[in-house]
Amino acid sequence: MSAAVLVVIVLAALLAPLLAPYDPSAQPDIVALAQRPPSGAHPFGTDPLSRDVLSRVVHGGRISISIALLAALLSASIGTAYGAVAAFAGGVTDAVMMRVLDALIAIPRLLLLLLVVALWGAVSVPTLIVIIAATGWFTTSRLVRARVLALSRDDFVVAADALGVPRRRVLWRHVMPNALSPVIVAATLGVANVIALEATLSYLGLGVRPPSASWGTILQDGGDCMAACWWVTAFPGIAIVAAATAFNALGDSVRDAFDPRGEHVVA
Amino acid sequence: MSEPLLSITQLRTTFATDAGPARAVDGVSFGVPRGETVGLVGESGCGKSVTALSILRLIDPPGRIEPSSSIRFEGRELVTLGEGELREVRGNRVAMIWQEPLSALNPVMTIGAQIAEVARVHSKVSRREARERAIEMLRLVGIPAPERRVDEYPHQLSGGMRQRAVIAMALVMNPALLIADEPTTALDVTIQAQILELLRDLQSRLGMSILLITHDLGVVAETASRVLVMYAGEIVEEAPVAELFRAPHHPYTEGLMRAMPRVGGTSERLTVIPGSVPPPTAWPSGCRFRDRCPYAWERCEREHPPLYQVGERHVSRCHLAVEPERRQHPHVPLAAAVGAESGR
Amino acid sequence: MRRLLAARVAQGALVVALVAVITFVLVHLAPGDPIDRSLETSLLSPEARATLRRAYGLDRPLAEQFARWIANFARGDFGWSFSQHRPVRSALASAIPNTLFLMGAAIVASFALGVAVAVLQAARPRRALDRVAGGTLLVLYSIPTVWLGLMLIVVFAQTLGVLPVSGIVDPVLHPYMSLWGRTLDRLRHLALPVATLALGTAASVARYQRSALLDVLAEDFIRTARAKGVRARAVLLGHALRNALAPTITLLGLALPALFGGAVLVETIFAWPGMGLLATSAVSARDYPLVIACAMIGATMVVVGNLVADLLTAAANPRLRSS
Repeated sequence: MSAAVLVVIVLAALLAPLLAPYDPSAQPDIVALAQRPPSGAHPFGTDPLSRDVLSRVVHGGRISISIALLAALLSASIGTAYGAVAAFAGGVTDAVMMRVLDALIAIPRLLLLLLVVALWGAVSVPTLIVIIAATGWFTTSRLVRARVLALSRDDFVVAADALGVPRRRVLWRHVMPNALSPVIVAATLGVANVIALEATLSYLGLGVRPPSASWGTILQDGGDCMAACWWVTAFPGIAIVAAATAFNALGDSVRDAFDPRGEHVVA
Repeated sequence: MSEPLLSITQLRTTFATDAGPARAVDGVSFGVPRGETVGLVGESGCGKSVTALSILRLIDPPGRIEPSSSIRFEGRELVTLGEGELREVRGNRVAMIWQEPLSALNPVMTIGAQIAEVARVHSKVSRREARERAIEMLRLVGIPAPERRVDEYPHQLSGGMRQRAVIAMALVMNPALLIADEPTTALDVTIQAQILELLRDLQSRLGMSILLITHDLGVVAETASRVLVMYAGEIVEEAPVAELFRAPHHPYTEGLMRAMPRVGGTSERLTVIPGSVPPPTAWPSGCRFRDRCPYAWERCEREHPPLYQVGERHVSRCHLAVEPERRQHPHVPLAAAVGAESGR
Repeated sequence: MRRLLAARVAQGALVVALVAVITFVLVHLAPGDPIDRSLETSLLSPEARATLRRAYGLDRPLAEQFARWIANFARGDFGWSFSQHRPVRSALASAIPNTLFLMGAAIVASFALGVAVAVLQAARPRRALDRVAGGTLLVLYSIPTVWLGLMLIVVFAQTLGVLPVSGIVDPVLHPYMSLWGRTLDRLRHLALPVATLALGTAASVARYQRSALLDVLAEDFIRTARAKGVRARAVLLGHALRNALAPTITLLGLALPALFGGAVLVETIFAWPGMGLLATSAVSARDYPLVIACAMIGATMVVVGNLVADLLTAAANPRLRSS
């Protein structure tokens, strides 16, 4: 079920130009065609600028999904690197890195994002990806560090050490590949999280800027006229929820596949 | 002989698995007379613990007790008993003690509260009375300073004390039958002896019956009056304890005895019998022990042995009962000949 | 235990201090300062601005500004809010209780709802109710807070017209209401913000609690309880839930930052005059004393919340309590 939803969403994003009935930014008649409720010609209605909401949602998915995938990938990489370095270094370095992490985790992510995005003003999509990733790797790095530490006490690592295999080689060839399963789970759940986060930031006017349309910016278009045109907010929201749910379900199944007994990790 | 306290007929408990139904208990029949201790002996995986859990209907899906089974206790059929009546039996008329006393106790409740809970579930007593009863029970099972211990948590007690607390919990309602599933396996040798002594003492004082489940024939020798030997989901031999030790009939029982340590050691006791219990999803046809048996011949492959009468109140599921001369010509068991790499 | 607690408090203080530094640096790295951003000063001449900067010490090197801020903070002075035109302390004084009220209500609601759903699921796992609830929870868990808030407004405020959209009390009539009426007024204003904040958290609590319950239900002592003749319901609530609550309390501690972030959003959507509303406006005004204070208070809440969660977890676990 969730796999089907995922396929539909990704296909729709890939084939957006073929699927969208209209140009997503065309404003055919800002007086006569604005804020029309859903109809045969406009299944999701039109927004206050007379744009077709369905076309915008289909195109918005491209941006929203790309941001989510890239940001999740990037933050997983940062988190893995940080956690691995802390675990490998050990000692004072590890302790300092962990206290910094404690502080970063204690700042509400949204507040941090607001701070960063608002302070720097308008951000481009690549910058947005970097910023979201930069604030999303904390939990992953904790998971990776814990996993690496646990693994380096495992018999096979101790054995490799005893056999004189160089430490670096042991870490890269033996420890890291085994430490990656929580990263994959966290990254998958992270995609869902970023989809919601991007929507939130864009809704607050801090994310993707017009004329580029993401699901979040469409939400914002609708936020101004909720009483008069709920459909502008409702449909992109449904797309967001469907995509986030699908990625969360995928993350759940990946976790169950790695760990059937369900050592559930908060991500 | 009057009707026994507990009488099990053709008990079958199966578990649905990916490899098909696992017949963990496959047609077991026996009785536990009033006031007696019956030992149920076998290796792990033979179905003895599932038999114990089946008596109290503590089998959860995917496991189920086949409806053709019968477990009669004090004139009631436990297999078909309703949930409410079943609760009146559990902890009240039939109680159970476990192998791992620590994991059998709730870590966030005081042992006093856990003992008192039995009294509160089964009789209308006040909180205070139940607590008094818990202290009394702790004293009965020989826990020193029970007034203090009653408020302690399981992790604060030693292994032997925990098992005493579990026994106290089981005996609150003065049950007619106590099922003890490997009650001493997790304990030190000296503590084992103390717990067995306590069980014997309590039995003579309270007059209950005990079904003692163990892999250790030594424990049975000290405690039980009758012995059931279980293998691959079946009873393979049953005899009074003295008779069994004097003249074991089934080759499996022989093997268990040969594996018995002379002086209280705990390791390598069953390694003498080559091979291992086959998986319950695929019991072999014919005799289920034949691959590990030093006497097996072609009849054992062809014909599933019934329980032969081999003495007064002594039965054995072995064709040697009708071809005793075969015992003179032992050979290397198939499982040993094939070697360790074949898991069969 | 006491030494452990002291260590945790020290660690928490260190975290809050680090948050202050990080925020301070971030705010000052950003282009623009409070003088540029303020509407009233936009008409001033460059010379006048320079004078203002000097007056507020904004022309000094970063390290010096930070040292001064710390010196003031040590005296209990959070500084002057440029955008609110009053001391940061007084701006916070009115906002903190509102945020705590909102978050407290959301925590209680999400915990109660989440645990209740999980218990219903765990009573008959993998059956119809469990599966339907599981799917619903996954969707709820995936809904962005913003959109949930907007949709709740559309449905309950605009379409049904049964609940107010914004504020904590009726702006006009509240002072004229009876005590009962005022309580009801507050609750009616609380309903949508709390629902928005709590539903998602309730979903993650329920998901977590369900799996914790199922883990505990597989333990030996559960079988012991059943063998004692304890009712299925009492086994679930008395034995299993008591053991399974501890990890959920820890989860709530870990979820506090996200909950605080959610509160920031909810306050923006529902014009709830709390720290979130204060913080967002402070950020856009480059009102750094207020921004830092908000971040520090937020971090303190999180740290204290985590500490409370740890203490509660310890209280629920006799093994930790006695050591």
